[in-house]
Order: sequence, then C-alpha cells, then structure tokens
Amino acid sequence: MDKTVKKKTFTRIAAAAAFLSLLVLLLFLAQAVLVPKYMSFPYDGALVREYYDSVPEHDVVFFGDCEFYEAINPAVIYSEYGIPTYVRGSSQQLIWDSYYFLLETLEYEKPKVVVFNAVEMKIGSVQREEYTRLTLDGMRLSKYKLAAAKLSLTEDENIMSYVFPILRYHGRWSSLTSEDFRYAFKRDTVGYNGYMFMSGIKAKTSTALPPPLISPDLPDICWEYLELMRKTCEDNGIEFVIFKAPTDTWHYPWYDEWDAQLVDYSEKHGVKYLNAIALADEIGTDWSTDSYDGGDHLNYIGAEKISVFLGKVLKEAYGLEDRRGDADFAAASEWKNVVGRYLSAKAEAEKTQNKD
Amino acid sequence: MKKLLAIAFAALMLISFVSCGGGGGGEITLPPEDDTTASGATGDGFSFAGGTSVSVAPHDNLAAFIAAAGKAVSYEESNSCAYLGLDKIWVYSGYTIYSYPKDGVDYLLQLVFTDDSVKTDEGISIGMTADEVKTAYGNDYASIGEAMVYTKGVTSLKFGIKDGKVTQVIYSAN
Repeated sequence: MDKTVKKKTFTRIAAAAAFLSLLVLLLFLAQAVLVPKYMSFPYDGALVREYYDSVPEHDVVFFGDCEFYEAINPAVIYSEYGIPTYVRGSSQQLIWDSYYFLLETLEYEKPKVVVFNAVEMKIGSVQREEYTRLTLDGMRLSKYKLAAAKLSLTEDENIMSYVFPILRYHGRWSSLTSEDFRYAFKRDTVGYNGYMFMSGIKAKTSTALPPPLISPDLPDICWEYLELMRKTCEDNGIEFVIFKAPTDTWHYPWYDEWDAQLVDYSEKHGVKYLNAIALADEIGTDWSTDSYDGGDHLNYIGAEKISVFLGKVLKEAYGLEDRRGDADFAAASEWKNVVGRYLSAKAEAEKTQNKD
Repeated sequence: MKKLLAIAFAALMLISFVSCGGGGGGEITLPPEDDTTASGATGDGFSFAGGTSVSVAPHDNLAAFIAAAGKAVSYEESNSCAYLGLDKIWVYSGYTIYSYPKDGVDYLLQLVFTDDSVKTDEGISIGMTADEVKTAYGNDYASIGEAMVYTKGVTSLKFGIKDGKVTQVIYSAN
C-alpha cells in the first residue's frame, strides 16, 4: 500500500470517527434539552432522580406512590429520632416498580428496614404511560430499570425509548420552555430525601361513597411481586413492613376486603402490617387541617404526624439507633441540610397561612 | 466536512420523525398518553340509558349522557395523581357515576345503582330475582361469591345477589 492510499484510508476513518462523535454529541445534547425536567410544580417526576445524590446510608427505605412521598417526611423522622430514611416514591408507582427499585437500592446500600406501600396492591396493570414515565424517567439506566419498563410497556411503546428517551420526547421540540435549557444538565433539588412538600390546606368534607368493588381479590401479579419483595428482604436480613397511609376517600379508597387480605398475609409470613386509617386518632390526624386536597393526600402538617408516629414504631420495633451522635455517620451534613431546607419551607408555609 | 454535517443533521431530522408510539406528541411537559389503556367509546359494552335518550357504556365519553341526564343531586371532582386530570363523581337520583379523565375528556369508569328506581337497558333493577337476571342476560356469567358478573368487551356488569334478589347493580370499565 503506498503512502497516498494509506493517507486516504486514515482520512476516511478519521472522518467517520469524527462524524459518529459529532452525531452522538448532537443526540446527547438534543436529548438533554428534550426530556421533561419536572422542575415546575408538580415536582413528582423529579423525586426519583434525587436518590442518587443522597449518601446511601439509610436505615429505612420506603417504596410507594404519592401516598408515601406526601405522607412520610424523612426530615421529620431524622429530627425526631435521628434515623436516616429515604422515600423512593413516584406517582402511581406499581408494585413491580417498587420491586426493581428495591433491587437497585440494594446495589447501593442495605437498609435495616424496608417499608412498602400497601396501596400498590390494588393495581395490577399499567393505567397510563405518563405514570410509568414519571416513575422511570429519573431512574438510572440499569437492568432493573429495563425490567420494570418491560413490564409496564403499553402497546405502542418501545423499550428502547427507556434507554434513549429522545425516541419518546423528540416531539417536545415545539413546546420547549426556558426550563428545558436551564435544567438540561443540572437540576435543582426539590424533594426532602424523597418527600414532596405540600403546603395547602383543604379540609376533608366529602361524604361521597367510593365505587363498589367488582371483585374483592387483589390482582395475582401484586401478590407475586409482594412475595418477591418480602423474600428479597428476608434473604438480605432486612425487616419488611407493609404500611397503609391514613388517607381513605371516595377517590382513593382502601376497602376492608383488601385490608383483611393483607392482615392474613402479614400473619402468615410474620411481617408487620400497619393500617394508619384505623390509627388516625392515635396518630392525631385532623382531616380539617392535614390534607391539601380534601383528604386524598396529606399536606406537611399531616405528614409530620405520620412521620413522628411511624418513626417511633420503627425505632421501637427494630431497635433503630439515633445516628446523630455517630462519628462514623457519613451523611450527617446532608441531613443537616435536608432538615434545614425543610424547616425553611415549613416556616414559609406557616407565614403564608398566617397572612391568609 | 459539509457533507458529514449534512448527514448528521439528516439523522437528527430522521429521529424527529421516527414514530415513537402513543399520542405522538410533544406540546406537553409530561409525555402524552398512550392509546392502549383508556380508549373511549367501545360500542360493544353494557349500556345504560336511565330514562334519557342517550345510552352510555363503561369507557364511553360521558359528555352527551351527562348533558341528557340533567342536573345531578351532587357533584365532586378530585385531581388525579400528579395532576393528570380530574376524576369526577356525579350523584343522580337512583344511580351514581364515576369517571376517569383522558385528554381532557371524562369517560365512564363505573355506574352504580343506588335504589330500585332505575333499570338496566335489559330491564333489571334492584329487588328483582337472580332468575330474572339470567333470563335477561343469560347464563354466561362469573360467580364472585353470590354476585353474578357478566363481561362484554372491556366492560362488566355486576349483579350483587342476596337471598336470591338483586341488591347491587354496577356497570364497570375493565
């Protein structure tokens, strides 16, 4: 091969490599801009991603949907008991999402207790693609993310769109806002270790009845994944707890028939099941002040009460220690920051309420 | 180099036009809904007219029926999780309607009889016998406890039975 041919070949290879690099770079930049950022209210879609910024040293990790990330406040639990916790929650998180979040969490840390949201037992199929995206967009790419996405794919979705989100979000180009550029590479922290602060107050006044059950049986797939979660915890020496938040409305009801099935399950397997609906008086829940939407979800006032209650139960049941005096606790400064941010947000909310 | 840039640009354009499924969109911050779950009118579900000129079945757009049914005794609405629309409840004399939202439209989730003043389109009301239900709807039903549950397409019709009598009638979206 003479020098000219060699030179031409090298030039072509270099040009091709440059082209591919440029293409990848352009696609990367386009994707960064096009994916939703969830940096404006409601922030639900931003919470999942924030877990990866937290020091993975949580004694308790909660897995659940909006019931959890609006009812359980790790900042309050830490303030009261010194127990580091995290809520890995997302909108309408399905039980297989929780299972794969659990497996993924175990890659980072091994909590002492895992608390699972009972309400996930009622949904055995994907309701809307949006909820899958809100749940999985923020999850790091891994075999767990792909496994969860595969189970939630709707008919026209492609698993590759969970690997390369640009395949799903390319159509957003015509509705981009300044937020998409501002947060393309860096997001604000909007949660409090998984808790979403809700400040409004709307009393529960409705007396409407929930839709009756067609069948009292909870979906088979939910039992299958509940068992997988329980066994995973058992295999890893983690206490497994099932918790139902105190919310119970016509819109988001919790039926006695479902409760009875979980009581049976918990007794059969020796796991703790707490239904806070029945414990509302003990917890001190006041439906005239503790919800922001008429009882469907809790505001920060209601969440404080649940968190104080739940923290006490977990501390006493599982001997969780106060980590605030632990010199080896690597996340001490993170917690100082989380608690500080929460107290500031609370003070601001109270100031606004006093004005009203 | 110009040629390479042109190819890169073309590749980007191609991705912009690649089908990504679902509602194909991008005018929204949240992704658009898929087309596979809630689907609107099915045409082959259990329908209910309730004395109006409009029949409605689970998964149907409720607008025409609600307009025909007149003023409800009571009405409530509540935000879906993450504010993806409003779930609604209309209480009428004799029945209650629950809806779910999709693309700004309310679809029938459940319709529940609350007394014996209304009948299904096949003539069954609360207080009638299980045999009368079988005569009207046939024997192809599932038994859940004492209840009889008929399925048609993506809808179901449940008759709660106690002591051989209908105590509950529920139209439901599956």
